[in-house]
Amino acid sequence: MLSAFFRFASILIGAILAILAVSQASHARTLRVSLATSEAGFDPVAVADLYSHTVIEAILEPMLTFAYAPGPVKLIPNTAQSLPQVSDGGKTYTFRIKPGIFFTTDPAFEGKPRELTAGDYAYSIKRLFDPKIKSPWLFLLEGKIVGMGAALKDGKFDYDIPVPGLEIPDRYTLRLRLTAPDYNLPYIVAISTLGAVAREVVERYGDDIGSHPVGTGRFQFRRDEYQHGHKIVLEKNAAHRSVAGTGGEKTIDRVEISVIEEAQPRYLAFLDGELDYLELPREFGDVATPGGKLAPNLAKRNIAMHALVQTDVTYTYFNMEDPLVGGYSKEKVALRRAIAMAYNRQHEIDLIHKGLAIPAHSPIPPGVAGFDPLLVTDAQTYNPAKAQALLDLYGYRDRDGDGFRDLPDGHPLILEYASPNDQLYRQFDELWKRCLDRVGLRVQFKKGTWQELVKQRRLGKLQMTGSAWYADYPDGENFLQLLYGPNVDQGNDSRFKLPAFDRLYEEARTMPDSAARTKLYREMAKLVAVYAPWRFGVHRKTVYLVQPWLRGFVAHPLIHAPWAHLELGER
Amino acid sequence: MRAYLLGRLWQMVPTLLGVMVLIFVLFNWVGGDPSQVLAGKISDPKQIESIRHELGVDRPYIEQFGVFVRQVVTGDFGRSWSTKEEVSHIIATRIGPTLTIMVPLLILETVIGVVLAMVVAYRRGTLTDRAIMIICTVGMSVSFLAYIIGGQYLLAFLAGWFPVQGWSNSFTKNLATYAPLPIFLALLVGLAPTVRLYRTVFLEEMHLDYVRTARAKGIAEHAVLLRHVLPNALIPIITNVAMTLPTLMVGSFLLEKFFSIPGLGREIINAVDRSDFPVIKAVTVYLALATMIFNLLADLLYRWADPRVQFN
Repeated sequence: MLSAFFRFASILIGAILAILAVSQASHARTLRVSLATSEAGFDPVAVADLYSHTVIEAILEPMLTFAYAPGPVKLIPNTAQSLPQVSDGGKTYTFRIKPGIFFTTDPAFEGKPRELTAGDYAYSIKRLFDPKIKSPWLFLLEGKIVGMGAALKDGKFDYDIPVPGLEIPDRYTLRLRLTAPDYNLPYIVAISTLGAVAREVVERYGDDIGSHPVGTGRFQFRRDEYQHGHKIVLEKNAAHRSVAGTGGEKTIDRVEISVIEEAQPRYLAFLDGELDYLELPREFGDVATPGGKLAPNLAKRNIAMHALVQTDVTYTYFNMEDPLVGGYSKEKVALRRAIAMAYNRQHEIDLIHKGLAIPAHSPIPPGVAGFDPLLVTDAQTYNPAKAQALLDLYGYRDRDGDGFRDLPDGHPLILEYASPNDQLYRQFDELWKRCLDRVGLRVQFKKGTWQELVKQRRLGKLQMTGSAWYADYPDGENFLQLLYGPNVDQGNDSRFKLPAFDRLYEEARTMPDSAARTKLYREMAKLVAVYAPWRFGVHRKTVYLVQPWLRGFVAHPLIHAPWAHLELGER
Repeated sequence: MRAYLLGRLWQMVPTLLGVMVLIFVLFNWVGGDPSQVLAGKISDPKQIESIRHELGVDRPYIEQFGVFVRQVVTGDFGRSWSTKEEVSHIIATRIGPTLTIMVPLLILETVIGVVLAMVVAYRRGTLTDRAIMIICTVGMSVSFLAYIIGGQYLLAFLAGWFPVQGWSNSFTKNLATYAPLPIFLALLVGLAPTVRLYRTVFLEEMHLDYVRTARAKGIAEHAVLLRHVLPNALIPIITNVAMTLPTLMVGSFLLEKFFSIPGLGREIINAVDRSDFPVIKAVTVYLALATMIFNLLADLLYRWADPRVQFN
């Protein structure tokens, strides 16, 4: 009896120790990261925020992806066997999907393995056009796919109607036919928005699809551990193939993503070792990276710093239809240029961005096809003396002795800068006021909620305001479209309509990435600098801090979930 | 009593209707248009109109208000406009963490507040009284945000006595590990005005004739305080606690944001930021109902605390 008891006890203790050992081992292979904002959901075509798409990127797979390596962005096949075959002068793209790729298990598949096919990608692309979803990404392919309109009937999208532009000649081949040549299509196909989803899953979960992401990616979603806006847990997709050229060690078994909205706890949690890497909150730029270098206390702990210029641009736009600052006449161009030259951009970089930004000389940021590092225009360089001379020259003088300049016809000149009610934007307001006061320009601030300002911006009711654009795909066209005349009401918020610019844009749009196209982009950037519908702002930098036990981290402008490529050492 | 209760319950209907009108007007006046944000980075006016139609914000105001009334009656507020999560699920899953912080906080604040207030009232004019009052005044002068930032840095990060942030699925772990620092910091801020208020209440009572009589009868001082002063001071204490009770629901968004607590306070702020009207509507209506119910409860407790109170 006693020996039986001891035998039972020793088995029990052994089992507990084994469980502890396993749990500790699995803990060691758990990557812990943070999101700065709550995710909106995980339906790739329905959500637009970066944080949701960071998670989606780890679960769903597009046909193409970007190489996770430093240096220029490089497109590589993902679930496709190779890069697409381009024919018909850039109007037809043929993708061949690798056979033998399977979705992770889900009740929607009724216990059967579900292979990824070309039809899944056709379905995923069709979802962009479904009016019920109202995808914020529709603009990526709107009007570009031949015959897509045929599937729309009485405001409903019929997924069963064949679309000529989405041809599926066999189980693994997808042929995309475009209405016009578009050499950016491979980039668009590579973003997480077009990751494959299975129709059965979408139909099973209906409105709840946003919390049931099922894909073929490196990780699968743990629905049972999900706490919206707080914690997202992903587990390694053990059945995932190894993809040549994209890494494949897969040492991370589990990813725990915590939503930590405030900068201080996020930074302190990283210092405490609760996070394995951190996108440095801007507020801590002075503390962690004074003068652009890693602080000695962090270097002493072997924490690594990775800096990256983001593929974005900030700018202040002038409404070209505004009676005060808009228009293409010389005195209006002079006024906008003077405003641009009066603004001290270096102060913005130092005080607001804490040194984590570089000046922009073009709408196109570094790291994007068409970026020209040699393009440095002085048309908008900070020069208050020159700004004052320009204003004097075109008759913007103080005529009533109130200390501020008036219009050439004697009417008061009161600029109106719109900005949201937010601490960050108050800093911008103060800087603008100081700079414009210095050259004798009076400015008033129109404050409002973010949503209200977005609405007014789209309706062309703001005179001037700050804005920013992140690359959806790494090509200059994604930025220059914001200034294309016909895009007024669809992204061209400055309502800039310059025939010379539009002609160049239309010509460049039909060309693949080349020196000739970069030359056209340069001409367009110069037109923007000279006519000044935008005052170029900055390209912001992101700094990542990486714990010494994490290996393989690369700061990449377009890969936000590099987790499968990382290796965890001893903590 | 029954008639009084029915009367009070009946009064809740127009009050709730008033709250609904107010929130509806405020949202439509200053709330912003969520369709602009939901439409994404680039969208044409047609798509924005389509989103407005889907959300129902293009319908006549009277019709939109009708939908609101139906939602209140059925208790079904639909889904969040921004996350598509069911509003009932949002409230059900976020209320727990909020209450885990706020209930212990209210209990501690009331108990400690009453005890400290009695002590300083009893020792009025002494060094103890002055010291506690000075600490309270200083405590009230510092912003809650400063307490949170300083407390998180000093007590959690530097001293390592608490975790910097976090929340788990286990109630006991949350209460024992993650909740103590937020509760402590909220207590530091909340205790000062509570002590000052209750001190005034006790001082007023301690100068009344019945206390003098009790003392003249030779009753021990602690008995005077506990058996005579405290019961008579209960009404303002009940009032204060009843006023605080509804805030249990919404919690402190600052605490929840800084300590990554997935509570309702943080959710409300996010909903306001996103103009997520279904969530705002639901929380406001539930908060209004809670306020009315707790007020009614307080009135009933007045009668328990002081039998002279009549329900008319």
